[in-house]
Amino acid sequence: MRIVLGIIVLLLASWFFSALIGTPEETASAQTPAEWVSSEQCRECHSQIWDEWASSPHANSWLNEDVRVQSDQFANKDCIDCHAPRPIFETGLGERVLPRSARRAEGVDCLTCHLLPDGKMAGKIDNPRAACQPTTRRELQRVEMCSGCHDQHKTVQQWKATPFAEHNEGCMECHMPYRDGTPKSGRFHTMPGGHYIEMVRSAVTFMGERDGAGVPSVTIANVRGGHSYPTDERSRASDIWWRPLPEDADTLNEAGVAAGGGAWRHLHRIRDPYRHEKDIESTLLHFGESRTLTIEDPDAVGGVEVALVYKRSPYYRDPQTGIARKIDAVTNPFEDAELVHRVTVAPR
Amino acid sequence: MRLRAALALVPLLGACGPGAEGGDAAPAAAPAGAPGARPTRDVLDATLAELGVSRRKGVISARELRANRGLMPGESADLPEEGDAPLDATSAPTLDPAGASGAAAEPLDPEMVEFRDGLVGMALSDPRYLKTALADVVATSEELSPSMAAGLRERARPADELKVLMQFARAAPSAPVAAALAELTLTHDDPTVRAFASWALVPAGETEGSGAVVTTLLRRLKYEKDTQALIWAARALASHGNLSGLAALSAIASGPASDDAAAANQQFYEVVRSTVGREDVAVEDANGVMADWASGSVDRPSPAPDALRASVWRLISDLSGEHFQLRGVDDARFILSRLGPWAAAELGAALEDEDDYVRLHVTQVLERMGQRGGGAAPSLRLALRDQSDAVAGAAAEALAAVAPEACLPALLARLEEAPPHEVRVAIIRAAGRSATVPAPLLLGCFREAGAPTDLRLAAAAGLLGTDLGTGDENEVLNWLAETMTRPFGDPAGAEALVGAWVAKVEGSGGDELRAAWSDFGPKQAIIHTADQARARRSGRAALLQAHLTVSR
Repeated sequence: MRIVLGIIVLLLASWFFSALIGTPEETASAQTPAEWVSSEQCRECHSQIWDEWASSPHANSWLNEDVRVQSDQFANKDCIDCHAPRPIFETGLGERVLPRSARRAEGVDCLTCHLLPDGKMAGKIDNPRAACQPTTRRELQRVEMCSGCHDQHKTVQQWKATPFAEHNEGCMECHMPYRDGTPKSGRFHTMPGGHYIEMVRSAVTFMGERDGAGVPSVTIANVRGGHSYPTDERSRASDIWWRPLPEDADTLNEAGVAAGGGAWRHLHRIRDPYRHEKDIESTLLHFGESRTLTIEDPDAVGGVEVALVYKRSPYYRDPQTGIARKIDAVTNPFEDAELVHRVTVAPR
Repeated sequence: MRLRAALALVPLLGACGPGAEGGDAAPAAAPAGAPGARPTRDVLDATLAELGVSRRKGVISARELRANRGLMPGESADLPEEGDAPLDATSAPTLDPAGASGAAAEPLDPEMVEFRDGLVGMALSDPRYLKTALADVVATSEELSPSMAAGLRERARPADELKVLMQFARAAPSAPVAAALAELTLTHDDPTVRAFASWALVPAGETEGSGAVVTTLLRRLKYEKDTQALIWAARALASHGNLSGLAALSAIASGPASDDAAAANQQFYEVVRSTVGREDVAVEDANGVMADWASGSVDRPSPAPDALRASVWRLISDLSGEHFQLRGVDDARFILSRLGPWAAAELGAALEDEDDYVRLHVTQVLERMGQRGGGAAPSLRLALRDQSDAVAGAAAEALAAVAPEACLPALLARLEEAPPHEVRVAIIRAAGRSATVPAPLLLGCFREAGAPTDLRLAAAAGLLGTDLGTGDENEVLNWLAETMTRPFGDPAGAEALVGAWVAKVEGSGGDELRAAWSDFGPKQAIIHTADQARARRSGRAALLQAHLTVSR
């Protein structure tokens, strides 16, 4: 009888302790799904991460209006490879991605990065009791998780030429930081990048001055990009615009530049041309590089206002028609660009 | 036909519908591959070796990238995981005709070089001498051919000399000269030279061994921005038995009246006349030729020469996982999918290759070929059971594209084997494109308890193309309207399906519905923001629901 009681006590104690150790996440869904068919299956247990991801450009990679228009609603199937890729652990870390036939609308989703070929999930820890049976896969931190898509534009190659690579500071350090700065609370899954103007601002510095001869100039430097600025071929661009400093220079409008003032004039474009644009030179600003541009114009004798803007498309669309305009026909770049930095240079 | 298809469906009802999911069905990780998945082998290297060519080197090699892996905290980036392979700095893609041959160039006869340059100088000195020079070129064409080809490849040669040489080349076509001309169409910076080179290639269509220029001209078709150069590339393609450029000629000819439009129209009808074999042709003949090309009824008059096959297999090798960058893959997909029906056999053979990338991308190429790829249907049927779900799913969609009338039995048979979700979605999407798909099968999937959005959407696409009863159609449309307003799922996919349905809706209120639907859309070339897109979809969903309430 004592032996039976002892066994019962032991069983109760083991159940009690396992319940203590187990997290609410694990007990929320006790049964492994028959098949992983949607990232929505992850939501029940990982709502915070799911919500972060759902607001990210990765979640929007299939629904993004710009992409849908440019790909003719994905009738151009070449776009599917990166916009709805197969699980990375299936195709192989660092290998070129392949397109999937199912759940395309979920874009670059939970399963893309976490689903393992055996149906388990790559995670930080082993936990066979959880519904998704996470398995420790340190590769999740590697740049090769991102390179299948992002190195198509040589972003990882650019990064490898920086001191960040020497110090093993990979994509995660900037684009998936820890929520509270420590591993304890996990990493943000919004994965901020070029869609987050604050992050773009942190990548470059922008300063203006006037030399001894009175010629104004601006210097842009890639100090924290971690790769070239901007890192993309074709779509991304960063332009420098200037104009004589308006009288009401102290009052800024909603774009962040002086209210009023005249037309903006184009000074410089930073962009990697698409492969068939053979007459255009690549002007990417590599990490650690600074570039000084002088404004040699009679109108620049007085004060000047200079703006660095960031674009997710290479052209400026007419706000009324959406039709792309030639750059010299643009007078207000802020109709189709975001301000990164603004400087003013005092009159001579 | 529909009754027969419905009877064939009886044993399949378990494949979609209540009970198809859950229970003791699939394990957490469905084993890769289907029952009876066929073995793969190294088809690619074996065929390249047979044709005497090597794989093209990628700009970024996957092998190089693998060798430079690491970069986890605590790891050194300097330690390669596999054998280190230096990246070839000169590894930009080589041109198909020249690169595919692999043959070492023989030294040129100095006398023929001098003769060539003398003729060029003579023709340039006075246009009246051109006729005499051309006669000399024709008389010595065989001996002169290597020097002509070399002359066309001299990058420093001025454009006016090149144009004279190209007139010589047109008068005395040969395989080496055709290859050199094709290179010019691809690489020369001056669009008039590119247009001239394509023009000079037109008679070469009759020349033995010049077929490899087809792949080069197709590459040009993708990138050419100059209208004249595009017109002549399309015309030269047609002379080599490839009518892929007809659509471009038709588009230019239909544009605003201009010299270019007139030139495109003239060349378009030259091709139509030559294809139908008579002079008096009308618009119906032109449409017929375009339709025949699309359906695979027009093909090369003779078997593809080895040089063309070699360039095609080099393009197939571009699909391999050894090429990291997608740009080469995109080019290869573009070119291969515009080949004539003869290429289906080569692509079908590549479906047995051991490289998953090759097999998957070849299925995509075949899907894009449509019925011109019909010759690969037997291989695609086998690929439905490929060991890779990705390939099997893509094969289903390709099969529906190449054999829309005959694909259904194979798709339904595969569905009966309870394939993994991804393959199932692809099969339902593919089956939905068939005119004979049984509606009950699709309804079963659509109504399946807990069915994910992608499966329901695939079924809905097919259902809207069948003769559904009003009640069933309303059920599908109402679900699509609801999906359009959801933040997750596929609101854009649902909107696209409803948009296609709205475009065809008949009866009372159809025109009003179309006008109101269009009113919600972006104006001119405006691209909606995410918020505007959500508002557009909500408005359209409400519009659809109101239409269904009023009209039914």
